[in-house]
Amino acid sequence: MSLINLIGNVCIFGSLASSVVGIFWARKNFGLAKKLIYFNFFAMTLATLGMVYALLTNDFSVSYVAHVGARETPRFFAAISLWSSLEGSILLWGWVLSAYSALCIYLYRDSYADLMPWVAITLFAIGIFFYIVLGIPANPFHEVFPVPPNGPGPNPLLQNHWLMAVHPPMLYLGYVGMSVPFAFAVASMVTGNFGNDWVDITRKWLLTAWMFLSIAIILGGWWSYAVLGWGGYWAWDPVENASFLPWLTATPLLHSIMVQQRRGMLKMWNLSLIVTTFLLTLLGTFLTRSGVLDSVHSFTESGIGLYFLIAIAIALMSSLALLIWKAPQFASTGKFDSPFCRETAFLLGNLLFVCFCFVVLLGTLYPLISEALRGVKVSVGEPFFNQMSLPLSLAIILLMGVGVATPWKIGDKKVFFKTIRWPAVIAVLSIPIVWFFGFKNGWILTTVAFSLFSLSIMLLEMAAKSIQQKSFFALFQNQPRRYGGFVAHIGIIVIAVGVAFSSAYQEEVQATLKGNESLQIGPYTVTLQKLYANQAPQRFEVIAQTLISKNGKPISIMEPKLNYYPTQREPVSTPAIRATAKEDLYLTLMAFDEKGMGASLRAMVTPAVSWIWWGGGIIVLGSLLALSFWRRPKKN
Amino acid sequence: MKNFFFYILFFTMAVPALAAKPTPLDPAMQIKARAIADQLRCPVCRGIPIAESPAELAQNMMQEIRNQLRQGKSEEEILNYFEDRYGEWILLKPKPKGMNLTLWLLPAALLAAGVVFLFFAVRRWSA
Amino acid sequence: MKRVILFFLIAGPIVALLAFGLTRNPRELPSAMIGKKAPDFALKNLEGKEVTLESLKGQNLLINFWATWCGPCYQEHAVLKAIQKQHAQENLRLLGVVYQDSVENVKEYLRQEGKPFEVLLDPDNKMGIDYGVGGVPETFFVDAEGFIREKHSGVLTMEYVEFMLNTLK
Repeated sequence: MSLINLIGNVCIFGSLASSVVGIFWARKNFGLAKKLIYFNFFAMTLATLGMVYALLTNDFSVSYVAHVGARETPRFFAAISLWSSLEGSILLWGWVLSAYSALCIYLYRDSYADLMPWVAITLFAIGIFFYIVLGIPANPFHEVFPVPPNGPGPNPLLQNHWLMAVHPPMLYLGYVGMSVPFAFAVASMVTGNFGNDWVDITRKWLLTAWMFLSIAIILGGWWSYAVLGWGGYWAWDPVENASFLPWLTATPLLHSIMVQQRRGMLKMWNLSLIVTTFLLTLLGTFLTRSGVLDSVHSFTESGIGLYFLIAIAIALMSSLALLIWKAPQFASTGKFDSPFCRETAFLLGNLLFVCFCFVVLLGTLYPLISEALRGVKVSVGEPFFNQMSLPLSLAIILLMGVGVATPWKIGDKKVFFKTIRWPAVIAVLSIPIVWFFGFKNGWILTTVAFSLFSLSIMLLEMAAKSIQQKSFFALFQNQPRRYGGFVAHIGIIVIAVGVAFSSAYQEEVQATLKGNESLQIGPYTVTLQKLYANQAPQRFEVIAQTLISKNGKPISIMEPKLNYYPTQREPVSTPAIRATAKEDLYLTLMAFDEKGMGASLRAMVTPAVSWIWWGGGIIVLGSLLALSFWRRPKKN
Repeated sequence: MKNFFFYILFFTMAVPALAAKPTPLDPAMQIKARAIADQLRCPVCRGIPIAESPAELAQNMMQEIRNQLRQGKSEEEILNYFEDRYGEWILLKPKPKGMNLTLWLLPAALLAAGVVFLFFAVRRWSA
Repeated sequence: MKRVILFFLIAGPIVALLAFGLTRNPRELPSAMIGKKAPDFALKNLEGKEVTLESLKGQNLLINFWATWCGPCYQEHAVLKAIQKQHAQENLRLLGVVYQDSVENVKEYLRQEGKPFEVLLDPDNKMGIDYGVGGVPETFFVDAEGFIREKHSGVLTMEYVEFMLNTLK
C-alpha cells in the first residue's frame, strides 16, 4: 500500500476509533474526550492534506485521484477537485466537522461543565457517521493497482470557474456549522440545563453557520449562472433546495431565539427549529448524494444512500424522542405585555418561513410521494415553486419593515404610524414611477413598493440614530446586533429586487450568424467577427469572437466558448457575460459550422442580475457586523 | 500526439448541428411559445424547462411548440401532446387535480392553522 | 402513550418515504406510449425514398432510435444484426431512426459495421418527439395493428428481443 493510502486510512479509522472511545468516556473523563476531539482534528487534517498532496502530484495509486485526477488539469483545479466528487467532498465534510468540533470544545473547555460532555458526545456521534462513510462506502484512499498512467480529470463542469473553489467549502462550513447548535440543543435537553448562556452560544454559532450558508447559496446561483450557460441562476433543483431548506429554518430561528433571550419563551419551538435545521442538512445530503432524486449535481449512484438513511433515522428518532419526552420540561417563564409588539412580528415571520420551508420540502419530495402512493412519476419545478414562493417572499419583505418599526414589549400605535408614515408614502409613490418606466407587472410593482417600504424604515432609523450619536459607525459599536441585522436585511431586499427584475424581464434572441453578420438585442448589437480554436492542455476550445456595440458605439469584445473534453461527447459551453448594474448581456455559443463559417449564438439581456451577488455581499457584511459582538465583553 | 487525439475527437464527436433558421413567429406567439416551454421539463437536462435549455432535444421541442402554435393549437392541446408522449413527468407543475392538490392545499392549511394558532396564543400570552 | 403515538406518527412516514426512495431510480421513466397507437411518421430513408407507418401496415415493427455517437448503440448493433439474420423470413421489419446525427456519419458507420435495419432520417427530431424519445438507444415494439406494445430504454439483449418478438406473434 502506498504511503498516502496508508496514512489516509489510519487517520480515518483512527478518528473512528477515537470517537467511539470518546462517546463512552466523555462523561467520566472529559479531559480525555477533549484530547480525542483534538486528535480527530489533527488526523482529519493530515488525511485531507494527504489527499490534496496526492491530487497535486498525480498519485494515481490513490483511488480518488485515479477517479478525478488528470495530468493535464491545471494545478489549481487539481487541488480543488478535492470536492469535485463524492468521496473527496465527504472527506472535506469530515475535516470541517472535526475542525468545528475542536474549536467548539476548545472555546468552552472550562465552562458549562454539565453541558460540555454531552456536546462532545453528540459531536462524536455525528463524527462516527462520517468516519464510517469515509472508511467504507466512500473511502477515497483505496489502493489502485496497477497504477494507471493517467486519469479522466474532474467533471468538466467543475473545472471551469474559480467559483468552484469557494462555493463548496462555504456550503460545508454552513451545513456542518449547524452541528454545533444541534449538539448544544441535545446537551441541554439531556441535562435539563437551559440557561441564557446557552442561547448566546447557540446564536453566535448559528449566525456564523447561517452566514456561510447564505454565501454558499448565493455563490451556487452565481456559479450556475456563469458556468451552466442557460442564463439563469436558480432552477429549484433538488440540490439547490437542499441548501435552501436549512436556511429557511435557520433564518426564523435567528429571530425567535431573541424572544427566548428576552422573554424566556418559545424554548420548545427553538429546540425544534434547531433539530429540524440539523436534520435538513442531513436530508439534503441524502437526497442529493444518494441518487434518490434526479438532480444536476447528484454524483452517480453509490452505496452511500443506505448509510445516510440509517444516520437520518437514528438522528431523527433520537432527537424526536428528546423533543417529545425531554423538552416539555422547559416551561415557558414569560408573558407578552401587549399583543402589539416585535415579538408578535417575529412569530408571524417564523410562521411564514416555516410555511416557505414546508412548500420547498413538499415540492422537493412530492415526486417520491407521488410515486410511492400513486405509482406515477411527476415533476415539480420552477412554475410551482415560483407561484408559491412569490407571495410568501413578499409577505416576508413587508414584515421585515413592520417588525423593525415595532418596538419590543409594548408597541405604541402612534409611534408606529409615525415611523411608517414616510416609508409608506415612498412605497406608494414608487408605484406610478416604476410604472412610468415601463415595468407594469403587478408582482414587480408590489415587490418594489414593499422593498422600498422596509428599506426606508431601516435607513431612516439609521440616519436618525447616526445624527443623534453624531457618528454612523457608532451605531455598529453600540448595537452591533441590531444594525448588523439591518444591513443583512438590506442585503435581502437588494436580492429580492434583483430576483424580481431578472426573472420578469429577461430578453432572449437566438440567431445563426455568418462572419460579420449581427444580431440585435435590446440596445446591443452583437457582431460575429470570427470563429477560432484553441488547444488548452485539458480541453479543446472553440471560441466565437464577437464585437458588442451599444447604440451603435463599439464597447467591447465578448468570446463565448464551447469546450470539448476527451471524456465527454457533449461540449461544455462557457458563456461570456458583460455585467453592469442595470443589466447583464449574456452570450452563449450554441453550435457552429464545421468549416468555421457560422455560429449559432444565444444572446440574453437580463436586468439587475448582479444585484443578487451584491446583495449577498451586503448580507455577509451585515452578519460580520452583527458577529462583532462576539469578542466584545457583554455590556449591561 | 495529443493534439492529434483532440482533433480526431473533435471531428468524430458531436458537433452540434446548426439549427435551421426558425421561421419567425410574431411577438405575441413568441411569448405564448415561451410560456408553454416554461412548463415543460427538458428530458435530458434534469429539472430545467426546455425554454431555458440549450440542449438539442429542447431546441427541437421548442421548434415543435412553434409549429403547433402555427397550426393554431391551444396551449392546453400542446401541453397534452407532450404529456401523452412523455408522461405526466414532463410537466414541471403537476396538474392540479387528485392527489396533486395536496401540493397547494397542505401549505395553505399549514399557514391558516398557524395564523389561527398564533392569534389565540398571542392573546393568551398577553392576557 | 400519546407521546409514543406522536413519535411514530412523525418518524414513521419520513423514514418510510426515504427508504422507498432508495429503492427507486429517478432516471428510469416508464413510457407513456405503451398500449397506444403508434404515431404516424413520414421520413426519408438513406436512399431518399419516403417511408410511412401506413406503408408498413400488417408487419411487426422493431423501431430502434440510435446514433453513431452513442456508445451503447454500438453494443446493440451486434444484437440487431443477429436478430435481423434470424428473423429474416418472418413478418418483422427493423427500423433504425437516426437521432441527432448527420447523414455522412451514418453512412460511414454502416459501411463499417453493417446495416441491420432500414434507416430513417429524422433531421428535426420530429419522430423522436412524437414517440417521446428522451435519449438513445430506445426501442419500440409495434404490432401488426400498429399499437406500441413495449418500449425499452437502454441496450437490447438477445434474450429480451426474442422474448418481445414472441409476445408480438
